[in-house]
Parts: sequence; structure tokens; C-alpha cells
Amino acid sequence: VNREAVRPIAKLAKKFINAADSAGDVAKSANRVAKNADATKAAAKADGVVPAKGPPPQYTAKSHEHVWPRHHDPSQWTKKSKFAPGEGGQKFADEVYNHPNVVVKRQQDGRWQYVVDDMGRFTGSRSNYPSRSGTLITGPDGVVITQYPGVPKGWKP
Amino acid sequence: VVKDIHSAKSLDEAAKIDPVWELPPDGYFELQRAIQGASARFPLLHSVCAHDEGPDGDFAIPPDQADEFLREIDLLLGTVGVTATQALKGMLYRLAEFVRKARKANLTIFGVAD
Repeated sequence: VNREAVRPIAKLAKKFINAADSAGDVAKSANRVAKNADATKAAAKADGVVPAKGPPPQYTAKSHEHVWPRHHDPSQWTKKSKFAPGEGGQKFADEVYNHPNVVVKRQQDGRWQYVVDDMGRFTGSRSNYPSRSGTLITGPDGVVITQYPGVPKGWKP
Repeated sequence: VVKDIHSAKSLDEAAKIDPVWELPPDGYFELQRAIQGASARFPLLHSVCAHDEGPDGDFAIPPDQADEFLREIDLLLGTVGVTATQALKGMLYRLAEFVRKARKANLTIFGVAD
């Protein structure tokens, strides 16, 4: 065998093997990252940790103008869920937003949905059925779009 | 998402009467997906589901827009065709029925969001 003639071929082969090893390492590393991300998500879900939130809620005069007739005043929109006396306003928005079991979702229009399945007390009622839940919807800037006792229809924890 | 459907002369009147129906969430979200990116073709249907809640979640179909609304429903079901589920078809047919009845009585259909 002419060793001088074979040497460049051997070098090339070694390069290929190194490249294949590197590609394998990259793939392994990518797998590891993906597994870590999955594990983080699973842990977050198990711990009830909220992955992301919008800015803190601001209950403005405009928020009140929308929420009051629909979710407080019993003489209007009678089929809408109604807050129990003393519930609602900025305090309710803050409580839902900061609740340890809040479930957060970004809506297709960029708004934030915060739902607490059980706030530990009766928050209001819908068609005379009492509710222990609370829902808060804010715009991307944190302004309260609406809030009400109960969960959105079709919502699953 | 709960949008109550009222048939009334005005929003003030609608606030005082019981809704005639409530949009079902499965059909509602399917409508949202079906017209995504096509709001210019379906402006009235877009107004039904552009926002789930709040003041801009409300929508109104007055008698003079009833024909246009019914045309959009026909167009959408023609476009989506066989892929439209029973949930979407059912919701749109029911909504169309309310719009026809309201037009006959010269009333407006109001969708009232939470």
C-alpha cells in the first residue's frame, strides 16, 4: 500500500467522522434543550406556576362603564353573571391577577384572560346559580376590558 | 365567551329583556378560525367574533344590514363547504333565522358580550 497516496483520503475520512460526531452532538444538545423545555413546562403546570402574564390590571372609569350594568346591576342584562355585594372593582381585578391558581391565556386579539376556578368564597351568581370563580380580561396595556364572577363558557381548567 | 343574542329596537331596550339565545362557544370559535385573515370579505361576521368580551365584543345586525349578513353566511358556508362542522353550520343557520325574524319585525339583533 502506498501510504503517501492514502494519507489525504484518510484525512478526509477523519474529517467526515468528526463532522458526523459534531452533528450528532448538536442533535443531542437540541434534544436535551427540548426535553428541558418540556420538563419545565410540565413542572410549571404541576406547580401551578404561571408561565407569562400581561401588565397588572387597571380598573378604569371605562372598565366600570362596561362592567357595572352587565355584572353588577341586577335590573339590566338579567341573564349575565352578577357580582355579590362588595365584589368587583380594582380589588377583584388584583385578586384574580395575583391568585396563585390563576390560569392565564393570551387571546387571539392580544388580550389577556385570567381565570380562577375557586376563589375560596362566593363571588356572585349567574341565573341564581352561585359561583366561586372569577374571570378578568385585560387589554395588552393592562386596562380591564371586563371582569365577572364565573368562568368563560366552554372554559376548561 | 358568552354572547347573549337579543332581538330589540335598541340596546337600551335589549338590556331590559331576556335574550332569545346564546352563541355556543364551539361554533363561535370555529367561526373565528374560519374567517381569520378574511375580515374584509366578511365584515359583519367578523364583527360577531372579532373580540370575545368587552364593549367591542358587542355586535349589532340592524334590519338594513340583514341581507348583507345573510349573504356573508351563504358565502362563508360556500367557501368553507364540507369542512364546516355541524357546530358552525348550526350556529350560523340559527343566527340567520333570528336575523330574518328580526328584519320582518323591524328589530335589530344585538350580540352582547360579557
